[in-house]
Amino acid sequence: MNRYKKLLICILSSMLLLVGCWDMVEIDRRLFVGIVGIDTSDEPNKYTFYFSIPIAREIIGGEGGGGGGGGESVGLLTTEAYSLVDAARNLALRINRDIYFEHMRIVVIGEDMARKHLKAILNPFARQPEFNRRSRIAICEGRAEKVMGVTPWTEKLKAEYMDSLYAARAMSGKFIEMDLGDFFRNLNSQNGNILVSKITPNKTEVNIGGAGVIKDFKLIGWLNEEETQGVNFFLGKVRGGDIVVRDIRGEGTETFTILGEKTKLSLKAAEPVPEFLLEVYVTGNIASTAHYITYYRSKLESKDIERMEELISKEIESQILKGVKKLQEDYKVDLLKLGNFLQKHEPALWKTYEDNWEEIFTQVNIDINVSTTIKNIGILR
Amino acid sequence: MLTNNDMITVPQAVGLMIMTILEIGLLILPREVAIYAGSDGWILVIVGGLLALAGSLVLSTLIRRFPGETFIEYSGKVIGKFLSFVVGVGLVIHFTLATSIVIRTFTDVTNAFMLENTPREFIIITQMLLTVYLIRHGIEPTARIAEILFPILIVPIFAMYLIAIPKADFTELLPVFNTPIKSMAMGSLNTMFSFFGVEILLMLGPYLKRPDKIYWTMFVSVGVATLIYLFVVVITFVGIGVQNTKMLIWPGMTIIRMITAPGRVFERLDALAMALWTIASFTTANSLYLTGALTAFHLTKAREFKFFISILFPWIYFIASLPPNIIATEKLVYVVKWGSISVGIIIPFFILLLAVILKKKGGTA
Repeated sequence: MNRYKKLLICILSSMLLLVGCWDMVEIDRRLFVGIVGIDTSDEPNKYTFYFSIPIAREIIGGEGGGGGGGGESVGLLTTEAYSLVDAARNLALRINRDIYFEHMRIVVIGEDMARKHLKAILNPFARQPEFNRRSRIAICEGRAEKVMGVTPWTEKLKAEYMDSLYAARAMSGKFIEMDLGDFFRNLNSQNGNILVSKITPNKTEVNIGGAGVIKDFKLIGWLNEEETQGVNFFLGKVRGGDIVVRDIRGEGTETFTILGEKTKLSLKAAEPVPEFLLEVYVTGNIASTAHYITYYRSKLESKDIERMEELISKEIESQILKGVKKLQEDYKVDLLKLGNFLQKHEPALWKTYEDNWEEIFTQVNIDINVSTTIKNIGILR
Repeated sequence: MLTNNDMITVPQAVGLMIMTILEIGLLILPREVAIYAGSDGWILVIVGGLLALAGSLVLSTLIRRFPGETFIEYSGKVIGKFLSFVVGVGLVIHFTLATSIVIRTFTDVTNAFMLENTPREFIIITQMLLTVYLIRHGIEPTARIAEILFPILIVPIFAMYLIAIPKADFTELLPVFNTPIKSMAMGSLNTMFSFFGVEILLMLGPYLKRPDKIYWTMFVSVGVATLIYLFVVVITFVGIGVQNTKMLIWPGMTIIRMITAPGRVFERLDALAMALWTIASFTTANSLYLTGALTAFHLTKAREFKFFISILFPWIYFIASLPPNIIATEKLVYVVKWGSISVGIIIPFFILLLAVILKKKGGTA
């Protein structure tokens, strides 16, 4: 009996050491994709895929102080395939490591692609859990290839560079801040219409200002930076950035930095077309004015502050109107979530509008009421 | 100190009940209520919880009426030996099916999120072996495990889902009360199905140390389970949107992959979520498997119940590996839910009714 016990203990304790994992892949057998780029291709039903992959060896070498001798720190793989997953499998013929998407930072979709086949390409991102849902998504002006070729000078890794650009929400409201998870969520609740970030490449940097307008899973146009900020103001998403207005005394400009924003949307009248009232409350600081900096020439009085607030409110209102007008008149697509608002707050009314909302949306009246509060004017009067 | 006299205390019974109820529903309930009632889904959880409470009220009244007796014994007194045998066989089949789908769903989730290439059968077998090892020791250790694991499951679940709050959009819960009564009723019934597991109370009767506290036990367990379900459903709705929830197979799991704590302190909670999910499904499989074996044991009046664990083993394995894909598993889940309502609640209800009419009563043990 005792002998069996000893044997049992031996066997059991060896089990502690002999554990393994069926799906184990060592980290040095993996390639971590940072950026996925997608473009159209000449072959029918096939698309061009780009994977930008950081090369760990080169990154470490570079930090060691000039070692490595100028090797590229990011590798680029290109392949033509029917779907994203097919593309990753195609690469198995050429690359000896496993392609791994859990650390994907951004998905860049070429303009042509977004105009024609957006639906087809999005499916695997939603269906397969291996794709990082916190990654960003952007549509590129022109071909995605150009974004893949950008070599930023601030960061070694392109993916890191582009991803951290989107963290600048406190600095600007002129882009769309949205990750893949939010993207799918909004796509679902707005039935295929969505604003998506626009990315414009040049040689050493990209610009993420502006937005792409997607209607029924197709890109139909762009919003410029100002219009994007207007729509962001409308949706209450602005957390930073600035507003530049003409100076109250007639020459030069004043810069107002935004601290935060609150919006309140309400329905004023329902028939025949809905009328909305949007109240926007913006707070922020005066960062610069065009005044002289000596006491006798010019100083700010409280009535000046009030006038400034008025001017800034007007400017914000005009930005919002620009965005709203573009969506209502040019693109005819409800990206202001007015339909969602009706659905949530006036479900009975929404039933009557639901079927031809697209038409009604273009005639909807929106009154905008902006009130700005200046909190700080710096340390100068 | 650690007694194994096959009697479970009140906290153990509460732990066992809650851990049995909490399983598949954690991951799929948000989708089901979203499909039935859209943004009103969270109301369904409350109504469904109340229905489940009513159902377990029937079971506990039976236990109070026949203290110390097994379900097979007292149902034999009320509806006759033959009918009670048929019901008993039905219960064994139901518990076998229920154990299979719990293990199978666990396998599907593990395959989808963690171990993509590990064979399904391998995961099923390992999970089952662990369960068998535990339940061979009887009901008391099983309940003790549930009691120990209870806080380990509940606290992290709350903490984990709370991280989704900063990104949440609470207007997703609007409009309220905008669903037709009919789909509300259907949805509530379906939500009640998600509480399957309460029927283990049928078999637990004779093992309770304090059968007089059974109402309290069941009220607390179903109440806590309802609250946890409600929490998960609300967080999923506000976290990933009602429309999106409808499309996802396991919204409760997908939301974890979208969570980023402010400052990216916690980014990938997948591993934690999988661990919690393992606990939830392990405890449920334990009690359902054990209850199945106990039913067969009561039915045959055999001397040992361990024997039936081995008999059920191949069947559970077979049924668990039967569905070819997730959609087929879902259909099987549906069968189990109906089984839970029929043999677990409706038949006991009639037995109770008959017992009251015929004035049958158990001894005052």
